[in-house]
Amino acid sequence: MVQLTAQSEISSRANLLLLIGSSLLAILALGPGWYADDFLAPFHWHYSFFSWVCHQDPTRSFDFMDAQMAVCSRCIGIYGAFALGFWAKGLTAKFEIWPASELALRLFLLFLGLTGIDVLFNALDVWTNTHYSRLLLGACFGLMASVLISSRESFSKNV
Amino acid sequence: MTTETTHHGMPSYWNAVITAGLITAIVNSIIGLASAYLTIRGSTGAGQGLWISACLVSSIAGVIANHMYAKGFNLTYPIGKGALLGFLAGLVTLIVGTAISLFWTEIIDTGMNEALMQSTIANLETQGLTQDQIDQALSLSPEPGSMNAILLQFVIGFVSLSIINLISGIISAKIFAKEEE
Repeated sequence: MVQLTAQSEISSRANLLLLIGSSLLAILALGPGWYADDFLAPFHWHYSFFSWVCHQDPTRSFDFMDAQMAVCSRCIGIYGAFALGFWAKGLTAKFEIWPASELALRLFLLFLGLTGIDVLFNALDVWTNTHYSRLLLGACFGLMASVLISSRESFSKNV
Repeated sequence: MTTETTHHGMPSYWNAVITAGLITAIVNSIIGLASAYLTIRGSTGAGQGLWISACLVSSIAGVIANHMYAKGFNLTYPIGKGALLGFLAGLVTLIVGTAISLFWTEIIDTGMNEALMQSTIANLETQGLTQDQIDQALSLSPEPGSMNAILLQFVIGFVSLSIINLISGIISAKIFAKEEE
């Protein structure tokens, strides 16, 4: 009984940590539009922070409060939905509605594959993706990543 | 592969971590340099286009490290350990990537930083910014190649690569190091 209580506590703490961390990432990814002049925005640290992990192409990014976001439309979908997944998990923790890890893994790999196909086919000019199609695919991929992490069996006793 | 065992009875993960960091840093540096030269030549769009392919390369260190460790030794471990491996692989990527970048800009092509700066200024001018606005914008970032710039880039890279590889490490542990049901 003591062990079960301890496991549950650690599990919630891990989820809370992931929730806070991913939410901070999503807020940072929105860029400095809410406090910086638009022409100065691309020189703020938000852009340096994400420059390692995103191309930040202005033609492939949304604006937020008149300034380019710190990541492209696909990445804002990934970061936003990744955080949303942990919020949803936190709010529905008492209900057994989340998929088992096997199904979550399949869905994660499906959207990873679809994202790869979208990038490849767009590069080969087979089709032209849009801000919203990239956002949608990115969001599905990001959501499945957090669903996979928080799926059943993920918080083992050693976490 | 020789098996070095730690005091916990688990094989050492450093081989996997260092190999993953090296691979990621080298691939990242090649794409980053190619992208920088395209930008210098005035193909800003092509430079950014090339970087699209590197979009997820930075996060691959955590994946490679966990794959090598879990599959190499046929191990299962919790996602917390996957996060640690990802974090460390990200750190190795940053250290090696910074070393390659310094080697390139200090020894191979000492004019690269200046050329990148000129290209950035030219780009701002084409956007119609006044000289005052350009000066204001440039004052926000330290002079390229200076100690301040290197330190700032290292600190930002540390946070950024650590977090992103920590996440990819958690996901990879979930995939590669999962206990049999």
